[in-house]
Amino acid sequence: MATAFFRTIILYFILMVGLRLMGKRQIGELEPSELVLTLIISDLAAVPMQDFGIPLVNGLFPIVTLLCLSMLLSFFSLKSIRFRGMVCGYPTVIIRDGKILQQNMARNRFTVDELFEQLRSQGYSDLADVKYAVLETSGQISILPYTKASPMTPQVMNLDVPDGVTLPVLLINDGHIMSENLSASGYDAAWLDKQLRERRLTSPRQVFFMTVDEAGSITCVAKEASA
Amino acid sequence: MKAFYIPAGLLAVILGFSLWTCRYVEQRTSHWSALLEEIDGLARQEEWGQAEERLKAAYADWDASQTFFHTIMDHNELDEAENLFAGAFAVCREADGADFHMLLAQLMGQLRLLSETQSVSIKNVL
Repeated sequence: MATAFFRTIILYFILMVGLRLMGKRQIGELEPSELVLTLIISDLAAVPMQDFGIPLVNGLFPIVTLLCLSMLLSFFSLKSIRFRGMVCGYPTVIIRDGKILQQNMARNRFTVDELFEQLRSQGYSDLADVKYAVLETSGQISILPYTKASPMTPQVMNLDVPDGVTLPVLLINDGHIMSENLSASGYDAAWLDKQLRERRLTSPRQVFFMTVDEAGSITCVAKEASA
Repeated sequence: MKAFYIPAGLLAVILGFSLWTCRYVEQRTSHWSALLEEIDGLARQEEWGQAEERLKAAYADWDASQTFFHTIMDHNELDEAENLFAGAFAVCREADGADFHMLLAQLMGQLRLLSETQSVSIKNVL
C-alpha cells in the first residue's frame, strides 16, 4: 500500500518533468500537469477493473493521491508565479517583428512545418503579415498580425457603430422549458404561452429550441414532424 | 486555504493508512509465523494431535483476517498461502514429519513475503 503511494508520487513527478523537457509542442491543449493526470489515471483505473486479483484500493489510492497532488500543484501555482512557471512553463515568442526566432523554436522543438501549419490554420499564408507569434504553455500559437494585415474593424475605420452584441438565452430545449433561464431573463410561463400562441404552437413540446436575447429578440424553431 | 488543506489532509490520511497497514501486516504475519514455529516444534516431538489442533487455531486466526487482507494485497499471494495451509493440514493428518516441516517452512516464507510486499523500503519503492 505504502509502496503504491510512494511509487505514484515518484512516477507523477517523473512524468511531469519528462513532459516539460519534451517541450510545449507535445502537449496539445492540456497543461503538463493535466496531461500527466489524464495519462496515468486512465491506466490506473483500468488495471483493477480488469484484474480481479488486484484489490480495488490498489487503483483507488494512487488515483486519489494523483488528484490530491494535482490540486496541490494548482494551489501552489495560484500562490506563486515562479512555481507556475516551473509547472506549466512560460509562453515563448517565436516570431518578433516578422522575424522567426530560430533559437526559441529549437528550444521548444518546434519545426518550421508546424509553424506554417499553425499560421495557415489561423488564416495567414504569408509570414510577412505576422508581427508576433507566441507559443503558449498549452502548445497553441497565438498570432498577432501587422495592422495592415489585420481584419478591418469599425475601430480601425474610426466608425461609431452601436453595440448590437447580445447573449441569447435558451428558454426551450428540445421540448423542455428551461425554467431557471426563463425567470432569469425576466419572463414567466404566461409570457412564454403567449409567444407560442403567436407562432401557432400549442405546447412547448412542439418546439425544438427557443431563445431570447437581452434586446428581447426571440428565435423559435419548431420541431419537424418526424423529429 | 481549503484548496490546500483538503488535498494535503487526504494525502496525510492515505500515507497514515498505508503505514498503519504495513505495521499491521507485519504484526499479523509475525504472529502466525511464531505459531507455525511452535507447531513445527510439536511435530518434531511427534505430538501430531496437538500440532493439528494448533494448526487449526492458527488457520482460524488467519482466515478471520482474510477480508481485510484481500482488500489490500494481491489475491494470488494470499491464495498461495491458503494452499500451503491446506497442504500442511493434509500432511499433518498423515503425520509425515519431513514433508510437514518443509510445508511449514514454505508457509512461513510466504507469510514473510506478504509482509515484505507491504513494507516501506527502497527495494519495494524502486
